[in-house]
Amino acid sequence: MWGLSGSELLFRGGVAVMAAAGVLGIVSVVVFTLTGRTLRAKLDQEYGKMRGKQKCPKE
Amino acid sequence: MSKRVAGVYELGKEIGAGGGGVVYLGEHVRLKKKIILKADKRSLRTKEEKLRREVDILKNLSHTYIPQVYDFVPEDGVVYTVMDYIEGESLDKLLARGQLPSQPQMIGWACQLLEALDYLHNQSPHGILHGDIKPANIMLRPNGDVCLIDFNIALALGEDGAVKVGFSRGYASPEHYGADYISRSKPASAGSFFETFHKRGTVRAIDGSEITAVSPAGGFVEGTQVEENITVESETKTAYSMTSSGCVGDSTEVDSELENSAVTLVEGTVSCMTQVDGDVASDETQTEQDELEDITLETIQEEPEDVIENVTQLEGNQRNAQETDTTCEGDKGTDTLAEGVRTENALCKSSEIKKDADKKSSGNTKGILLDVRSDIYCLGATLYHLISGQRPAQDAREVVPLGPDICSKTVSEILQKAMAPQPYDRYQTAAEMLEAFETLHVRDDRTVRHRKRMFLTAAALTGLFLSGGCSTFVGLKQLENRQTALTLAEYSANALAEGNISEAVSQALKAIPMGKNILEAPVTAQAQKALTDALGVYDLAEGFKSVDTIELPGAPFDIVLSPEGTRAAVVYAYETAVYDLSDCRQIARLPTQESALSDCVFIDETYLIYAGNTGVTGYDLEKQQVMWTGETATTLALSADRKTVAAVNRDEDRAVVYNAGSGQQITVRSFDGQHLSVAANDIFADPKRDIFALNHDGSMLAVSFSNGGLMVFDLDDPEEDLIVYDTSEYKRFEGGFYGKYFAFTAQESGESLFGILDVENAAYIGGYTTKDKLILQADADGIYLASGSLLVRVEPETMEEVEAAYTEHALITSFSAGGAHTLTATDDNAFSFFDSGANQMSMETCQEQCEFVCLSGEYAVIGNRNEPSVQVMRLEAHNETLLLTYDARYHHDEARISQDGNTFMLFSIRGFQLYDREGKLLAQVELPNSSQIYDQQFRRDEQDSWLEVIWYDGTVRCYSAKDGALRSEETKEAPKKDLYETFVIDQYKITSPLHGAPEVYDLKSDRLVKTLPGEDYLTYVTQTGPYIITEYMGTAGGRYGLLLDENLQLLAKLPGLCDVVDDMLLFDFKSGNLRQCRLYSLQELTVLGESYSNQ
Repeated sequence: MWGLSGSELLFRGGVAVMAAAGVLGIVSVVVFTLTGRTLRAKLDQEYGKMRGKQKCPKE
Repeated sequence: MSKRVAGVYELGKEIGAGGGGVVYLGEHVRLKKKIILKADKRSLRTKEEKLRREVDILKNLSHTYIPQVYDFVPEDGVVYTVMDYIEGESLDKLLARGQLPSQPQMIGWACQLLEALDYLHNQSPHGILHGDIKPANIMLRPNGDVCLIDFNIALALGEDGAVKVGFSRGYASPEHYGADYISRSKPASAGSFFETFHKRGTVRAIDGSEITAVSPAGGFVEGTQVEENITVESETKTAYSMTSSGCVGDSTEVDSELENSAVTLVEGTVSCMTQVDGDVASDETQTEQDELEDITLETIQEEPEDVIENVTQLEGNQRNAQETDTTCEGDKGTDTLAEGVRTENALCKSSEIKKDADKKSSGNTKGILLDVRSDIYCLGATLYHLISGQRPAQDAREVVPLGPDICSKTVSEILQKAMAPQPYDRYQTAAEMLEAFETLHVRDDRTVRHRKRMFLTAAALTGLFLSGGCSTFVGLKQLENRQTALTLAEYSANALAEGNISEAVSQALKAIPMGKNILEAPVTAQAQKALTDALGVYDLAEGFKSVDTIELPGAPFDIVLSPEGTRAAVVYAYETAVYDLSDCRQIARLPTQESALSDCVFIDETYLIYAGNTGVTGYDLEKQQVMWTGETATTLALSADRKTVAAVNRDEDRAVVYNAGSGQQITVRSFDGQHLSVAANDIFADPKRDIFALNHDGSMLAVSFSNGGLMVFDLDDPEEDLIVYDTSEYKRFEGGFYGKYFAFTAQESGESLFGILDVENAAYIGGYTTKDKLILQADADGIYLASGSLLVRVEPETMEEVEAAYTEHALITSFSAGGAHTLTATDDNAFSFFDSGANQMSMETCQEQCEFVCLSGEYAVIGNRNEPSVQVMRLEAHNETLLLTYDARYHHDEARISQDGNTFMLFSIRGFQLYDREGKLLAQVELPNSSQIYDQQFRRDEQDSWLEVIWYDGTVRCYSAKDGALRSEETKEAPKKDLYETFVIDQYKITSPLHGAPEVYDLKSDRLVKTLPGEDYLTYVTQTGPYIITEYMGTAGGRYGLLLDENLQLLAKLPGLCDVVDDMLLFDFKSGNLRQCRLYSLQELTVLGESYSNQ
């Protein structure tokens, strides 16, 4: 296929898949970070700032 | 002037009063700090120690969201409790103004209140219940935080089991209303419960006055008002949790048989103290309050002290029963109940509350207790009111869940769970509910979905990345292995070129993967070709094939073969090694003269004579022993009849002639002072620069001398000696006897002389001089003379020269002729075999120029002076593959087998011959007008086969392959003259122009895939299974085929291929035979290779 042997296809295809996975990973991180921030803002607006347990004085 | 308490607290205005006492705003005189002073109402009738213990517990409480109690001061019979003044307003005020908090604000308050509750519930030893959480008991501070006040009810319970339970309708948990209330199926039952209390006249309303945040220990705030506050004061420990559990955890269970008695007990012992904030009380509640007030007041007036005292005794059930008995004025039911009452600690710790126990308790309607979950209900109801602005229904089962228009679904669920009718359905602890609020963000559906998406995406991408990594790793390993295989295939080819077949097979096998794991690269065409070439399975031509390479102890001075070629003697410094060529095994090592001139001659296959270090030696190879030894000599000459041997030692002027068999000295012949050309250091001498040769019977000895003289000595009669040259300028001589003829060459710088003498008649037959270098071999096999690239056999009678070999552009440097084949070495480091018809059979290359080419019988040995190794080759006839032997003189271009395999047709444009399998000529036909033939095609179908001949004028004649008869003749459209052919196979279309390289196109996409080698003309393309076989006609006239894989990679060269039938290959060799073999699969080749290696 495309003048490449099976081994070359495996190697180049694997590299391409890894690169694609990496790029998609970066895109996903960006997307999820943005959507996460948006969601956090919505939740903050709806529930208030999230209280960490450590921030809640017991006594 | 205002009153001072304990000298430091100035009593201010009264800001509230209730069942617990009167609340004053005060000031610490010295600190000038606002405080709250609560004059405990119970102090009027309760022991001081008891109140002190109560306040001591409160004093130990310290939390951000509850008020701090500072002091406990008895003054004038009144016990004052001093505590924090909480600035702000209660939340009920906000609700009254319709000022609802936002959801985030409500959640923040909820968390603060839950922290406070958690703190209270976890106080030692059993925790403290608030019991009356409602907006009125929650203060909103100026900084936005809230503070939980008025938790004295729980404290009273925890003190000694006495009950002072306040609850507010809508906020109170079902347990506040009692077991029957919970167990009833209809919401109206709650109301009926209270009605029952009132009508029977057994519940005493202690106080019906309106109070504001009345609580012994709660925070008292100026202006605080409670919408509704019902305090039920029970004087005994009964099945009702609200009246029997003095502390959280001191629970009481009532045996089931006492169910009916419980009501009686309540009727006789419970007194209710109702405190109502008349401002906001509901109509219904207000009505009930009114009904209760009269009864309570009346009852308290009767026995106020007795009630409290009797109720507060919890030391033992029996004691309780006794006390209750007296209190209840002869109510016998109390005794019965008291006996069944047990205290247990199982419910003391809220965290230890078991749902099973709850369910059991729920099923046993008399065992309802107040616990932390009651507070959770109250808080849930309070939050419900705060967020919705609607007071929750009194019956927990009628509480309407909050819709999305009011609050978030998650918040609504929390509140719904907190307000579950059954305690075991609620949050079990305040901490649990607090966690629910604190984790609102993470439990929100959107957060969950977001996290799920992130997880799935991360998992998918991780999987994708790992898959890619695995693929890359496997591909990389396969590429590495492929490169290794290519290298090994190259090693194999090199080993094959050097004649080391076993090494070639071994390397080729290594290049072929075993298929054991995925990291191995697929089989490369190069590896398969290397194995095919090494095994030579498709090389069916008769010819010399490399057998092995013999490693020598030293670089050879000379190589001599036995008459039949089965033994080879190699002379090197300073031994002679003898090898058996059938297995390339060394069979003897003989010490030899320390001279490059040292000679060796074979008498037969088992007997040789060599220039031994002690003298000329006859040696028997079979016996492995010296047979005789003569005088010291270096150069030897053997007569053609192999009976006489002559020997001369370096530059001595005499030759000794021996009987070859016995070693008997026959004669000694003096050269009269002349001697052979010998260098001072003969270790590096050229042993071939002089003539020293015996004739056929050993009667004549030809010798050339260092002075350029050349004489033929008659060993029998010195008078008959022939002087060819007395002296001359020639420096190098070659020559020998062929019958009665003596042929010689003499060379000086730039000129060579060739001559033939008739020694019997002492006549010069002929000769010539040339500028070219001449190489002569004259012996019993004939006179062979090489000049340039041509080797000829000279017939001395006629001086006719017959071509024996022609090496085209390369110059012949040495040769070995005689018999059926001729071996030549050329200056291009190649050596070639020729058949008797001077046809080149094969050609191979060496790393260096081949100085030694020896051919005898079926064996040939090739070597040079610089490498301590020789290559051994053997003639292979492939008789097992022979299919047909025909007249080799018949010229033809192609050969085909008929469809039934019974006849063979050899054809060219001139005509054809037809043979049967026995080799019988069936027909020979000459084609008419052959110069006008455009093309010939041998065609086969399922029934028949025939030769189709096409003329340029369109005439098409078909000749049967059965008998050669003309079976059809017709005239069609004249063909184009471009001879452009197209072959279509399964996957490809191949075009073959007359001039130019064939091009391969993908059949589906019509895309050019590859260009095949274009040196020769492609005649046929056949597909057999996964293999593609292309047939070529070489420009020199030879035919061959190429075996390709489906990717058009070369797998094998098929020399002489002329036809393909299924998986059978037909080879045509000009020596006059057709041979056949089948296609070998890779597995078969591997098996063959392994078999070869194991031999």
